[in-house]
Amino acid sequence: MASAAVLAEIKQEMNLETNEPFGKAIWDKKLKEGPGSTPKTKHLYKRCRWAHTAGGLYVDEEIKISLQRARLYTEAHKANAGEISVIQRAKCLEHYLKNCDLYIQDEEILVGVNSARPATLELYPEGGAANMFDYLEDETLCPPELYDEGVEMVEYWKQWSLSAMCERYVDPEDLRVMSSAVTGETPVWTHFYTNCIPPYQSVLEDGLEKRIEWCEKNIKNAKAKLRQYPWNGEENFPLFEKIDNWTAMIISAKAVIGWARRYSRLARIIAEDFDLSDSVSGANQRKKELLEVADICYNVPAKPARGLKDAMQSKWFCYMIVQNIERYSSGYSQLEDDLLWPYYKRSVIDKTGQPMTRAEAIELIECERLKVCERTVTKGRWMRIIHPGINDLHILSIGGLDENGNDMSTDLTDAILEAALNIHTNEPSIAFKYSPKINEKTRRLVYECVSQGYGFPSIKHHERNTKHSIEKHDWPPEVAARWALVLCMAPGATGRYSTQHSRNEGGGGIDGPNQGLLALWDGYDDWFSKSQVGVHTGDASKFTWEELLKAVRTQIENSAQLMFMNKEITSYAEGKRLESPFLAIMDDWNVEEGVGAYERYNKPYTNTWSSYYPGPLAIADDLTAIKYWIFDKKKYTMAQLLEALKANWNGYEEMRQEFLSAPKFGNDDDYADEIARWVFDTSTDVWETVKMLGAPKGVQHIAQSVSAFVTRGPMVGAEPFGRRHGEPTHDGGVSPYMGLDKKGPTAVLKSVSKLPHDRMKGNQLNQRLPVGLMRESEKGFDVWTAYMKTWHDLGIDHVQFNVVRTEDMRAAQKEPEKWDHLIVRIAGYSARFISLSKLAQDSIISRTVQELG
Amino acid sequence: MTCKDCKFFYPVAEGEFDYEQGKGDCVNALQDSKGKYWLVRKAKEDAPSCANFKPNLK
Repeated sequence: MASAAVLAEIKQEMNLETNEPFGKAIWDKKLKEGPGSTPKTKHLYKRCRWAHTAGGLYVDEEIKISLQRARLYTEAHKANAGEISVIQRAKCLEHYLKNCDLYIQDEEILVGVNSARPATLELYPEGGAANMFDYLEDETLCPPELYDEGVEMVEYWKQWSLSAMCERYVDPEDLRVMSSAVTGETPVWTHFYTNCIPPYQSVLEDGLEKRIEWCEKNIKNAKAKLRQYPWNGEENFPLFEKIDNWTAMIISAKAVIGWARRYSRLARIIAEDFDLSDSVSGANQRKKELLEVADICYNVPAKPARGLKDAMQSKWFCYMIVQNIERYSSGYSQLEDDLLWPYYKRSVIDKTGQPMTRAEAIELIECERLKVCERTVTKGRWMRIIHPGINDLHILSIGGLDENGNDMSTDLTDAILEAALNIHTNEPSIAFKYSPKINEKTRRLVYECVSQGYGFPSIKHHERNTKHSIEKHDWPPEVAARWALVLCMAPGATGRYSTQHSRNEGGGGIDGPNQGLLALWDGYDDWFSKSQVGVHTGDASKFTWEELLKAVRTQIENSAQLMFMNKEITSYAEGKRLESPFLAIMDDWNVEEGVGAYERYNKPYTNTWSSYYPGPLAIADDLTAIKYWIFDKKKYTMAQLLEALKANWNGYEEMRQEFLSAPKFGNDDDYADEIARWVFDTSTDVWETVKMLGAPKGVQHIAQSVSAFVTRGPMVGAEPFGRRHGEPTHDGGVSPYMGLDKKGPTAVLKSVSKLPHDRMKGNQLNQRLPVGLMRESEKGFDVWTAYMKTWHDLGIDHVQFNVVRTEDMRAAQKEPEKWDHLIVRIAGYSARFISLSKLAQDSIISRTVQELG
Repeated sequence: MTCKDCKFFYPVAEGEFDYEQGKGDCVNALQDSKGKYWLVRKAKEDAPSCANFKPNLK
């Protein structure tokens, strides 16, 4: 039974005096008073500059592009022509940080931006022409006066861009296939999307000044080595490149300190010289806050963080540089409670550095959540389209156990969850590293966030994921235990040393459903690209069952091969053209070795992984329906099926209904589940066979969907299990097709548990639970805890929940203006329901509501 | 009148990261549909004054 004392403690901390179920009380309170625990965060929520997209378009029509970053980077690139690339990159960053406009918004206590003005988007011409033109030619985003200048920049960067370099290594025919988007994600260098885990600990603990000294000492030692008699070319030759790398790191870090201190100056000027009488905090309090901001920005990231305020600001500055200015990069990939706990303890518990109350800490966390929602992001249209309802994938991780199995959750973990309950934003999403060993209060707060319908925390099996990283990546137990999600589903090492820096190391993926369909059509895609995008595997009308399986595997191998080749090409090119010396100085391994941020030779904690997205369960349900009706029942032939599929099932409704009625994954039916197991095992075999740089045990495999299960619908033709062209495909990575899991939640878990979780890095499972039980019932927590015990005991990798009423979603479709608070889980992230396309909304509505208890 | 004579012009001290002879910071309070913000831009001391100019009476 849930402890009443735990619930009472949470209610007291959240100032909630009620006899109603907690979830309902907090939901009603937010509807009545609006989100936010203080006047400041209530104000900031109301004026939040949401920067999310829907259908690839920015929802806020005031958002426009700026060319400030592109202009300053281009100027510096030209001024340093001929310089070693990594130093040239450092000088570009330095020039930008010296000359860019800065701003601080009303009521902010956490400062630092990546754009010239609020609601402006900065561009990255060094990525390539495609992304630049995507923005320049969009009249809703590009002020006409910027167009010609932007085109001139594209012209200049043609010879220097990442795209231009990558294209050299790719056969034009392969490039055509990869760009078709049918076999999988288009190349990184066309959409300029990447992801990383910045090693924040080093900066928070050391401060940049100490790290600069470390680089200077390394250069001094290297030069002394060069002067040692007798000369040793084998040892000395690599030192030249190392000296260049350390030099670039120093330039970058000094520039970042200077940039932070520009904020310090600005905050002081505002405090001392401007009218603050309209502040919700009152003029005197606001002045005090701004002077404190000035002090903090002078101190960090130059010096170690003295307390939580310093730590949060230092982290934010580093995030802005690494993932927004030096390069664009997705993710909010830190083990947040582990990272910030020493500073929280110092400020909130021990009161020995930057003392503050628990409520003030929660207010600061709420401010950070809102600032993430305001982050303006420029990524390729491909990625904007598959991320509807958010500005980017921001997923922080909390919880878990240490290497000795001790609960790592702290009061800060609880404060993070309470802040999420207060402020009601869909971003950043939270991943919880679940174990039954974690204390009840933290698990209760996780449950309460889920019951609010946030869709987060998404829940990953702590022990299973830790074990996987030890066995497959060879990380030491203390590193493996402290994983955080890189994006939606993939654990990556956190800490100070050898974290993941690029999507080319881990990320990207191929399309699941299309691998099966290409096997049916001899590699030809007649639905989207109208071209040969797979390999020729023969006329499927004549296939035996075994020949069909072989053709599927061949298509998977071919698409995967293109993906892996492209990842390594891009990785090589970004090391040559797009180095990130500031990211490098944050990482102890890079500083120790004098190597660039994207170096992967001999990287200690390599994290090579990639995905299926959408997941491959479509292949399983397709093969199951074929086996059932064609090879076992022999009611239809392959030729008849192909004819029906070619017609998109039009005129074949009776046959479609029969194929829909064939056994389906998710119902604890071995007939379907064994075929699903074959698909997952075969795919994992292919991934493990691939030896990417630094991955002797092969690439680790993830099944997930982001929102591609909806947005890629038009790219996936009619499927044998009964789906028509254009309709959503399977969501999640291991979620049964919506509405086709008919035997209840335990049957779903049993089917999912038959998949090879131990061999895989992640498997995304979406479930929908009833509002009445979860939010409005006293027994919800106990029932959910029992469900989670089954889930955990079965060794399933992941689960996340939608807790939302169908009637509320229908009402929101009719009157969206009344439902801006409604949040739903898409796949690896949560979105405001009203920002989704009708098709995406309908697909959430169609998910089966699982009755528990 | 030039930027140097304006209330909103702040010289950057020598030795600061972004110090550049003849340049300083122009700081303004601005308002848009969402709210208020304070913007700093680089300005040349001898640039002609703009519409936001206010004499520096300090």
